[in-house]
Amino acid sequence: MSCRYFEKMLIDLLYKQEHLGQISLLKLRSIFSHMGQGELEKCLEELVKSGRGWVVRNGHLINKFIVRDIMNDEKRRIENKIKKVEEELNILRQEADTIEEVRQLWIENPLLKGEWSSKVKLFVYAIWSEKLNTILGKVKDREEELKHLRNLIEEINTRIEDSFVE
Amino acid sequence: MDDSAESNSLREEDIVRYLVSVKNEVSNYLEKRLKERAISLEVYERVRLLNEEVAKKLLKDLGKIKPNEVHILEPDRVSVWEFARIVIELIKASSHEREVIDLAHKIRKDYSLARGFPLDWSPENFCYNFLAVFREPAKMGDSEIEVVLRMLEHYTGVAKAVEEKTRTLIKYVEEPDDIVRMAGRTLEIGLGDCDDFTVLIGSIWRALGFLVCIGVGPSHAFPAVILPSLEMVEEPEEEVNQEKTGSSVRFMAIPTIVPADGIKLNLSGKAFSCYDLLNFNSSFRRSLYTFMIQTFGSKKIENLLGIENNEKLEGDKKIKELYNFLRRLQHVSEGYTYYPVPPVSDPMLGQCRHLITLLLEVF
Repeated sequence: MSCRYFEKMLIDLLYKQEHLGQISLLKLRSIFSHMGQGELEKCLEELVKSGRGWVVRNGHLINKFIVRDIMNDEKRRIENKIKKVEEELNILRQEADTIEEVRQLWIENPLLKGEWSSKVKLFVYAIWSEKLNTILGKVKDREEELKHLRNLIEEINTRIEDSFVE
Repeated sequence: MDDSAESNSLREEDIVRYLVSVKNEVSNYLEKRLKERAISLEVYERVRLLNEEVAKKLLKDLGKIKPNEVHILEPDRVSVWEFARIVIELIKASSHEREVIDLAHKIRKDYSLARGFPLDWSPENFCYNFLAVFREPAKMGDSEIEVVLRMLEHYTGVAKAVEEKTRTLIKYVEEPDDIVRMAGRTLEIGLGDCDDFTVLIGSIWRALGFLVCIGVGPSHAFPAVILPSLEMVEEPEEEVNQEKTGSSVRFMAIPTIVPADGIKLNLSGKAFSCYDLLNFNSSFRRSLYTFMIQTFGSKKIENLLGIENNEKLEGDKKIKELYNFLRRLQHVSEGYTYYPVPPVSDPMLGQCRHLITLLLEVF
């Protein structure tokens, strides 16, 4: 197998979800065991010297261009998701605020007076509060999701900027 | 007891009128918000549907409306006023519950039996009418004073018995939950936190015809009863000179807010509570006078309240207890906002004295 063909196979392999731009040398040797030790080492040496982004670090063969490519794709995907969750969150907050206003209209209606009205007020308060709590629960979930997604973006940025890529 | 001449019972026509009114109001509000682009069409639709759902639910459950408890929303979304309003509505609704009315009158009857003083029960005609009549200083004969004091002592005793009985019936628990219960529900489960005690004690007092308010702070609430305290008032000098006869003392009824927050003091071998501070002839006050004069050579309460970090405070357990008692009275009057429970109104509440203010005036 030529080193050029070996590189092409490696690139296909490293784009896969389980590798994300890097592979341990141990695993590499096991996958390409048919090549023979000498030929494999020769090809690896050639790749590192090629200037096409290949580096060996901490027992791993890494291609920094593939890592960047994958990370940037992932970043775009997460950024789109963040946008979607932010839109949902905005609508939910709008809904919660509107429900709160509507609840006040129900409770402060001037026809609710006299002793009998207390039960109705409490009943109405309980129903609307239940609705509001459901929405507030969803707001909380979306806020958590957003926090998680923003953390992921930070992690990706760190990985992109990380020394092993540069 | 009504804050209007309307019926106590739930009537279908009232609900229907209310629903029509609220539906129009909400429709107008939602359309306005949509036109202003303050809400999206999606939110408009969702809330409109929810609104219809709530209206249907109210009509469907009409007649069996019996809220047992109310879940308070997350604290940052509920203002102190909103919380107070919920508690006030719970007190109002609970005071019409059968079990609350029965318990209230049982406590009253048991107290009367134990004291051997049967009485036509009518706080509105005695306590609160008395407050209106004796708002200004007036002369009273000795026999009249004796009767009035006996009556006042009886009404105050019943109010106190309500708090004491409730504290024996219900176990106090610090609840991490956000639920405030109707009084009947608290009686059923036998435990509650400060919110539940506020509703329960407040509604029993209200069922008995007492005037009630609530004290609400950031993390605590308690009920308070408004009771008259008969006080001696010095007659203006010129009038004494003009008449030149009889005593120079007149009497005045001062509406006083008595908090039910378990504030007690042991003094001279006796246990006293806030209720015991009412009226000029109170034995608690006499004990206080004696103790203050013996300890400080002065009856001025300011002297005691001003001795913070004093060695005397650290050295004498009794002084420390009295100091803490007065400080707690001061704290419940200044550290909480008081809200009236109808038929008490804001102006009416504004005319009431807190116990510590009363003490500072009379000592």
